[in-house]
Amino acid sequence: MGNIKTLFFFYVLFIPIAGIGQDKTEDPGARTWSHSDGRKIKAGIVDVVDKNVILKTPNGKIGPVKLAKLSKEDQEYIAIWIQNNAVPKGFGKPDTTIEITTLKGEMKYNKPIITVYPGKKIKLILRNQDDMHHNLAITKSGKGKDMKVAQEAWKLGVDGFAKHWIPKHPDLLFASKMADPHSSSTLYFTAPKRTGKYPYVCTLPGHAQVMRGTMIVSKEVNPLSELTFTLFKGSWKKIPDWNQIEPSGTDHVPSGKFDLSCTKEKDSFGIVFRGNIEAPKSGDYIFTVSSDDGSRLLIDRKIVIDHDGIHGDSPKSGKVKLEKGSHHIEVQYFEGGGEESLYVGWKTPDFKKEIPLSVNRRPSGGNSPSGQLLAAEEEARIYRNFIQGAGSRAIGVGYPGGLNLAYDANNMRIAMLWLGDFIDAKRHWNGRGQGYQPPAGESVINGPPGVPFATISDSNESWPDSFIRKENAQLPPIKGGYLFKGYKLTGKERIPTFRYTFGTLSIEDMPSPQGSFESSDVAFTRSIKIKGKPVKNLYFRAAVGQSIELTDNNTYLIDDNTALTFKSEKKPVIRENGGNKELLIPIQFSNDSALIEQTINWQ
Amino acid sequence: MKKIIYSLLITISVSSLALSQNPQEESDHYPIVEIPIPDNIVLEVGGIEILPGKRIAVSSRRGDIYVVEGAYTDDPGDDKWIPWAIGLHEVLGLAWKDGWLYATQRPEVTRMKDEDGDFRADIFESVSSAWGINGDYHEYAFGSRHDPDGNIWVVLCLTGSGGASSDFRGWCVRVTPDGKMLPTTSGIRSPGGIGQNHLGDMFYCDNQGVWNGTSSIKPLPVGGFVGNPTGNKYYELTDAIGKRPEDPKSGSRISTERAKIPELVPPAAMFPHGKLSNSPTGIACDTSGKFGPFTNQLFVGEQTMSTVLRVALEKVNGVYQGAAFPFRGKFKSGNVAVRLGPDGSMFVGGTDRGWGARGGKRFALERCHFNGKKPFEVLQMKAKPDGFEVIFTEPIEEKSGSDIASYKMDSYTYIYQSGYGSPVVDKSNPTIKSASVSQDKKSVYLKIEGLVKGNVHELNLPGIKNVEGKALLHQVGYYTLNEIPEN
Repeated sequence: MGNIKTLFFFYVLFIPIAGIGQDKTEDPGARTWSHSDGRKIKAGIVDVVDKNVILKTPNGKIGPVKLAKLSKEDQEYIAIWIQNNAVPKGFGKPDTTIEITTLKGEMKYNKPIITVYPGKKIKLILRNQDDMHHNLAITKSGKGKDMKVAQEAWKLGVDGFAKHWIPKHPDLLFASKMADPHSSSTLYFTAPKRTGKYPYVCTLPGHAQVMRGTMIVSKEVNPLSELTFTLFKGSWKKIPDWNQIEPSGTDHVPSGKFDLSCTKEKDSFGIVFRGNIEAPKSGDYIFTVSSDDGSRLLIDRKIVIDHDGIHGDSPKSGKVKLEKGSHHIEVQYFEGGGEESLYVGWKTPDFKKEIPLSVNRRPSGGNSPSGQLLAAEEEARIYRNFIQGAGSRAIGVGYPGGLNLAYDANNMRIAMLWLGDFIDAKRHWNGRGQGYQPPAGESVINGPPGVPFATISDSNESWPDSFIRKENAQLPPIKGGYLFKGYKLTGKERIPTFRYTFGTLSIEDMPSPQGSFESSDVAFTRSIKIKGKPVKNLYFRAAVGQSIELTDNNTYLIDDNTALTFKSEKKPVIRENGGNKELLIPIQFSNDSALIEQTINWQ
Repeated sequence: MKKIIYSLLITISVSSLALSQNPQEESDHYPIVEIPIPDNIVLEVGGIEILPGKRIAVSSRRGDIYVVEGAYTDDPGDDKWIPWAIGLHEVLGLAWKDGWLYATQRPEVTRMKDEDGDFRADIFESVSSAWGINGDYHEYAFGSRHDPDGNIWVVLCLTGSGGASSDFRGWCVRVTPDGKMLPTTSGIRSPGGIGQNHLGDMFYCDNQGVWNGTSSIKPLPVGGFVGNPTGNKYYELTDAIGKRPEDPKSGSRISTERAKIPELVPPAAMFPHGKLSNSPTGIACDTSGKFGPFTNQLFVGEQTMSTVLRVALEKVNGVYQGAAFPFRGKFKSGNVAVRLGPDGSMFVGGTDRGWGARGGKRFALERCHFNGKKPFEVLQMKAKPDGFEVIFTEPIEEKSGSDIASYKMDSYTYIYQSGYGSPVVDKSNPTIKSASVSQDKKSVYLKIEGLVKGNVHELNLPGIKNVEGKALLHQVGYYTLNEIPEN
């Protein structure tokens, strides 16, 4: 805790700067405070520091007031505030601060989505502008879990209020204390390591139906925040003077990014997006807008890109120097008629790759640089060839929805999974076709090396490499080894099921895509069916990595990039071997068969 | 004056030897029809197979297999192309058997079936993937149809076409019906195609290169060594065909090394480089007799020259040998796959990617057939202890037939060496002493002095006429004389 004067200056300087572009609902609301010198001050609490409370008046003035100078009632109020906003012991410094405000007179949070980085320490301030009490509870990911927790809160009955309406429930992860009307309550928590969507909800009886949102835990942090859009209707040939036109409405952008999904309008309309963008470091930033029709991009209210006029979808870029920190960003757009599209992206000083600030990808004029990208349409696209990372007998599969896989038929394993574009055939389809081609797309995760099944009689026994088939080798003349048997195509999407034998066992391995590249629930499910007379001490090696952690929902986190969950007769075993961690699934036979069901998620 | 006239005549007749085949006249007997390919298909033919019900299957180097309907007509404008399988790894051999389509692709022999009747393969069974592949594009695998025992024969190109970095490169292996791989013949270098003759004996074509002075068609006897020792290190991996043979001495001749190495099998017919062939490929045998007068002879695709050759073989002292003849030119692309249908239709598919071809098109699928008009050709040449018997497709005119000036013979061979290819060496001019026309006028016995065992004997017949006074359609044959018969 520093010198009051320093803090005072900090608040005086900080709030006005942060106040640019912020909507007026940030104001914590007013309560009338009684100063011992007779003054009545209408203000909301911003913070309590040492023996002072920092108050903010509705017209934005901030200043400290000695606690001792306030009425007994006020001091009790402040004591409760401290309880509801205290930093838990040992929490340390938060990595990210997020503010959610409850809308006045409505049972709604001002933000339907927040995004946090996995494992980071979060300070979430719930500012309650309403006349009722509210709280914020974050539950485990999964459909309906928020409602289950809220329903449990109802059952608290007469004890509910005293317990801040926080119930005991296995699906509840974190919950703030209740925020008094026109006050705030702060929730300090560590974001889950497992990426995904975690619902949040107000658990006061009757609130949960409408008062909810989603916390997205993702490595892809959206640098945009507080993004709103204002819709205008009209026919223009150039970007109009927005101040001269009556807007049709303003709202938060549900996707949190620049795109036209926020409106159903197709022709004769305009949108002005406003929000903040967080620059991760100081340096030169290159923004790109691709739009049909005209658009403009402003940073800190200065035009960086002017791409005005009636034109088809085409990109235009502009460079701007930014200091590390938050900046105001505004994108103006209008559509005359015909096709409409909007894309915004940026390149930060670190990255050579352009990062989309829109949900859609940058429309490309053709494939990757003079490539021959293969793609699945309604059916899976198979590509057997030399694939880098999957060996000389690689079988590439591009599934509809932008999920992809490469199978290594030398060792009967899934070598790689990735998202987005499938693979470029240009190398192999031109000239004499020499060499290995890596996957296209992004987010490549590697499957464990070596063969998938082995008998392990004691926990120190290493996973055998005697079955491994080196690339240029003939079939290893090992009795009871692996033999690739091919694949069959089934279903409307004709996805492959890979087949092989291991000794006397016949195995069918069927990976299936779930969701699509753009959706956050993208994953692979996989069923491995084993048939044959039971083999003792048989294990399936599901993962090899530096770190393998069991997290909630029976999920195993592998090296912070892959999450695996299993349905199998026996529980998976984590062991250390050969300097690595391994995840082994013991195989339990019944009626001469066994089944492993696995879900693979990107982290 | 006479001397000058004679020498002029000789000059003219010698220079006429440089004349290519008579392409216009070839089409009088063997017209070619191009089968239209849909715009969205990049065909680059690797394999063709005859299917039941007047359909054919065609595989592409991009790994796709199409079933084509309507390819048999002379006016195939309504041909239908059905994508049967997509995404295999460079299919260079197709075989249909018992409801399954077998494909030899780079990593394995696969068999496929359409289970649900939607005209597309649903099951892909890996029959055998037993050989090594390491990512080098040269490591091609060409596969045959099933032999009478139900085996598919696969010839495996050397790594980089001259090295052996993966197990069993440079070998021919047989894949049995139950998926075992049997190493069969060693000594392969860079195959272009594989096929059986009417007796069920397997042959393949090898390209000029290391240990191959010129391209040729070679037999594949079980346990034999067909010349290139680079892959012989893999005798260590198998007992299937006995001990590793002695390595040949570089710079020698095949006939010399044969005397030292009992396993060494000579080419059945050498194809003089640059004259007849640069890159021979697919092999088809006319067992039906519906493809003209050449029953039981072999037809070989030629990639560089966009032609099809003809090979007439015999066995002398147990060794395959015989003559190679030009047959048909003017195909549209670099011929790779050649298949004969039961009605005598010859389907030829080509590609020129990676290696140029005279034809000009990136890829093509064509149908060549015999239109019933028998061509006037040398049917075959038979080696005799003191010359050759030359048999024609129809009776010849006695006068030209018995005139030794109607013929010219050259003999030469190639160095059998570890270097790439070879110039023509050991040239000689065997003398034709006499030419006796047979009773039925369909053959001539040429008594020749100076035959050389192991050499190519190139016979030119510019002076031969048939009873109508017409010259031969093709006036040259190249006989590889591995053995001279005793009687």
